[in-house]
Amino acid sequence: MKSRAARKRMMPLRSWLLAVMALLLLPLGGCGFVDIDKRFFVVAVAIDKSGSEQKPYRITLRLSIPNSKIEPGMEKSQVETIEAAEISEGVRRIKALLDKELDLGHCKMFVLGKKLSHDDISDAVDWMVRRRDIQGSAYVAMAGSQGYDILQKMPLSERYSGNSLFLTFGGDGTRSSYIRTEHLFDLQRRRTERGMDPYLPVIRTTGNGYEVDRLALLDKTKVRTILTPEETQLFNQLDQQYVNSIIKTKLDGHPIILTATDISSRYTVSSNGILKMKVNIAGAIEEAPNNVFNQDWGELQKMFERDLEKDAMALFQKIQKAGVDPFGFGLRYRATHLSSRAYQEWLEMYPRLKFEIQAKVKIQGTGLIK
Amino acid sequence: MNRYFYYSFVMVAMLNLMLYVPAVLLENRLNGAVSSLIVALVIGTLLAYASTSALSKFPGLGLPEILRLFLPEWLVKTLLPVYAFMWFFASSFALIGFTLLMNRVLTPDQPAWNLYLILGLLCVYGATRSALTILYLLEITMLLVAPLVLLILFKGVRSPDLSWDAIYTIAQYVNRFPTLSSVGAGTFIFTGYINMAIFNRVNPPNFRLKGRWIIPATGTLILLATFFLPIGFHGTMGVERYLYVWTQTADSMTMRYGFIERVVFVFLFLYLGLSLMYAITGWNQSMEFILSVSKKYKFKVDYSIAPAANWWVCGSFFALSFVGLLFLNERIDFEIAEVWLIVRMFLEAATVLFLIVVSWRRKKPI
Amino acid sequence: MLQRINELFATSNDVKTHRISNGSLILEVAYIATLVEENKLYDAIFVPFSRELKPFADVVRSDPSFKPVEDPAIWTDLMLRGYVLLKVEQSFFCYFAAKVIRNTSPQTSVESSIEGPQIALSEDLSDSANIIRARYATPDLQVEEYTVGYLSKTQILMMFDQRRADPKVLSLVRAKIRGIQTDILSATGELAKALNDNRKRLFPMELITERVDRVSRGLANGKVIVMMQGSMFAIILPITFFDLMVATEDRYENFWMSILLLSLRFCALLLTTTLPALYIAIVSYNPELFRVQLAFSIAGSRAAVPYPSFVEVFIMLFMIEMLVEASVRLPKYIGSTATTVGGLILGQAAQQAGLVSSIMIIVTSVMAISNFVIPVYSLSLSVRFIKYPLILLAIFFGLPGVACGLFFFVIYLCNQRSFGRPYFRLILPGDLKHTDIGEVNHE
Repeated sequence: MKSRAARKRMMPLRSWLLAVMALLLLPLGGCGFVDIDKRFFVVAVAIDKSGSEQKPYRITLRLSIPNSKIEPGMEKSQVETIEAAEISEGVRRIKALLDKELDLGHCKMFVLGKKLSHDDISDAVDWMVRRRDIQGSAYVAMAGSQGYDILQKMPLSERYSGNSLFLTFGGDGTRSSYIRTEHLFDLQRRRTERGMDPYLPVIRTTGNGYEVDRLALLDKTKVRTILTPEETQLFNQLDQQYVNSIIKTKLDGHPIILTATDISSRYTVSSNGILKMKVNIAGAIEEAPNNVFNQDWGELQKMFERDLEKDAMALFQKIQKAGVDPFGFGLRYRATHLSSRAYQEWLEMYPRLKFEIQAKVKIQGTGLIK
Repeated sequence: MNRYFYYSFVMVAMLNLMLYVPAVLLENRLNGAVSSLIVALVIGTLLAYASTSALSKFPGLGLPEILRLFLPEWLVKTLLPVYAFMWFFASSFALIGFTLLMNRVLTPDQPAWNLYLILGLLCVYGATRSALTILYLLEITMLLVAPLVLLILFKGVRSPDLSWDAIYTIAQYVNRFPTLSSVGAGTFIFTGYINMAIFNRVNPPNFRLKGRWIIPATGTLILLATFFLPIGFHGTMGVERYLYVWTQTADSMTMRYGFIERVVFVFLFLYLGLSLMYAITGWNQSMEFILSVSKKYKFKVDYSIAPAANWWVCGSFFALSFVGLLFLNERIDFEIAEVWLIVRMFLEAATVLFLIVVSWRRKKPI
Repeated sequence: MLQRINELFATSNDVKTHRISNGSLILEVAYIATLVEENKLYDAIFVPFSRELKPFADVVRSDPSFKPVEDPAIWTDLMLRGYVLLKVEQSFFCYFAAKVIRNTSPQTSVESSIEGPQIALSEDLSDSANIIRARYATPDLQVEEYTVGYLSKTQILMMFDQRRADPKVLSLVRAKIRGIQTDILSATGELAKALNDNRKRLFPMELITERVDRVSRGLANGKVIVMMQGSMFAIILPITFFDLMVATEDRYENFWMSILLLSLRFCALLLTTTLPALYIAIVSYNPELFRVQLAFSIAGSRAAVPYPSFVEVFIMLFMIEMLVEASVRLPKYIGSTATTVGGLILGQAAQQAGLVSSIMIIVTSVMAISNFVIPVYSLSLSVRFIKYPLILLAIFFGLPGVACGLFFFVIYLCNQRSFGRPYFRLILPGDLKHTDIGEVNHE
């Protein structure tokens, strides 16, 4: 009986609450409600320097046009470009050119123009990090020339616009040892970190696609040097232990190439200014003169080791000379040295840092033939 | 009952992984946060152990009843509203914080109060339920949410993008003297035991809490993850630039083969569940404190139709916090949070101390 | 007696009253011809009476199937339940001679099983009780009888294992059955509704089943079984939500497969409730949830659709609900035609006409199929309803709305009690030694 009485007392209050809720709901309908086909998905953004004083930025957006039939090469996309004083203003102004709502939620590719990268990337990266709808795991790259050209280019095989760029950097499709992916959050980390500097992969257009095999090394704000494809691969091998990559040596003028299936690299930075790195590579020979099977493998390994040490030394010295630190040697120094002045010490030490590289190569086999 | 205590404990610990605790800790990362973590670990574990042993002396009694046993009525009548406010503030503050975060990330085109409307009303409905209902709900929520949160943490630790060098670098600042605000923030991870203040009422007489080693174990795990994972992902310096560092951390992870690619969405929805659960338990307990001010109030373990008083109290909680939401923004939030975390720590410590003294006194005559 | 009965049933033609005599004795007989099997009557009354191998008055007194009737007030009641009234030497007797029309040898049809028992409960109470007694042969099985309905006078049986059933639940059920106030009770579902406090509840609080193995399993687990005359379904109570998700066959088949099937059902439950709402929320609020490629293909397939996503969803839901409804109500042979026409042709045409997107067709079919996976019909009905509030929330609040809606249902479920027992609670092993939470105030 008591519960029934309680229910009777409850009913008006509950229905009252429901009514209030319904009333509050009514005016909200449609707020932020934009159907997927009324949105333009931006798949890539390029930020260039325009060269003009008043409107220094040139923003280019590549927009995907939804198509109900999905076939390779059938895909259409639209490229919009505009010059603006600020990046966000540029994006807003492009909105005015379009008939649908602009959606950056799927934009995973940011291309920074060559000029911008050599000048200052801070504003552009700050803008990307600040915007809520840009993913932290988006890819950032530098254009070989103009970012606009990269976005204009449309590879023949694309099923979705932008897909080939996503596949290139995402590691779902190609896995090349020459490609180094840079995520937005990592770029931001490297820009702010003490003892670690950012890098950007360089995209260049070719006949029917893109070529990504170089790496630009930046100090905190601008490009200092660009690694060649070979150096980029070595960087990947040493830093990320990237397998499926190759190392080379020469035997009597014939190249021998080893595919690494197992790489490990370890280094320490000691306080007396010496960086000791140990690299172990094991793999099978992929390309070699005939009858390599019967050669002295120990000798071959020595040759690989010698060449690897030489190349690595050259790479380190190039990086050191450019005054950048993409490996994070400085961070390692800070991590292993218990001193509040560790970073200061590092800054003083780095230009004079000596490298000692000890490579160990193991040949596991010669492939299917002798 | 054992498991319900640990659900509540893990819920609070996991919830704080995201909101204000990491922000406060990371701000102090170069001056004493690391040593504060150790201090917080010790204090938090001690408080949790002490309060659980003290409360087990009073089976079936909540904090209001225990206060009534030992203190004069006027003091009880002043203390209970203070406690009520404490619980109400903690949970509403978390809910508001999460609403703002969710709004920024997921529905930026809508006003924040729009989202708070449904979250708040849902909490009103949940908080008016009986204690048993809330415990059942807690169990289901935690069993669904906790494994996934742990999975994300594990994924973060295993990620190749995590920079261990940065973590070691920060860990070296352990020799700095701990700061009050960091200790306050660190102990908040362990604060799940205070939910027993009301839920102790449903403990059966022969109840003994077993497996208390879980408290320091999970506490340490979550405390370390809270502090060090963002550092590993965003670097020793970059980490302080983010407003919601954990959302950004989750956004830095991707599940390449998952149905939902971006971890941040999974993360947000898990935390939606956690925040709602936290606010529901918080409001429910605050409501019980307010209702217990009247000496005639008789606590009922279970009811299928909530009494009208519940609706009135929780409804006004909702109204109050709604007004609060309109005045708050992230900046004020963080400032309040820092003060709140310290004040709360002392209030809790005082309560636990009281409980211990009282439980000793109770032991003697028996 | 006869005069009085004729007055009571003045307008009924099928009320037969006879006064017969065999020389030594005068017998008055009254019965309702349509309710009574007249063969029984001849064998038990008229033949022994006229032959009189033994004095008939002695026969009546010695044979236990003739029960003495003291109170004239229950005459009509007895007659309406198929008894024959007799008056022998100033004392009254009744004899049960009812003719019950029922389905013969019932097979399970609603909850079919491949290898489980194929015999279902019967529409006749005594047959059902017989089957259950045979499957649950212990003296602890108690049977209580009730009559409900002012007009229908439906007989109700409550069965339980007296050692295992919870006395609190029992007394609650007894009180509920006694408190039923209705004219006519014609189906088990109606009875189940009457046993419940809240008629507006969203989920079934009791399990309605035709399967004997479910019933006997329930009895062994301390559940109470309520059955009624004239329906081949029994009510099992109290239950938990998880009982509704278990098919009896799970116990008979391979352990791992059963686990897989059970988790499949929970996935299906989630899909059928949330899929349309998620479609709206993702398509209209947060398309970035999916991976890029999927978002583009959805956008492409929606490009021809002129309406906003929720109109599209409503069109398809409307169609599918009509289809399901039509195939349930139609005779079996036409039913399959309706589904073919509706499902295949209409869906295909609607998509080609640009009324709905092809993704929406997938969403709708997955939703419908997942609904059929749920093993208990009453639950699958409630689940069919639940998606609509979620759709509304999705329209107004997007993804957080859907998540909150789901959370609401979880709270709602946790708040339900099936006859005083928790409805949505995980029973985990390992806590058995301890007293449960909430047992303080029950002392």
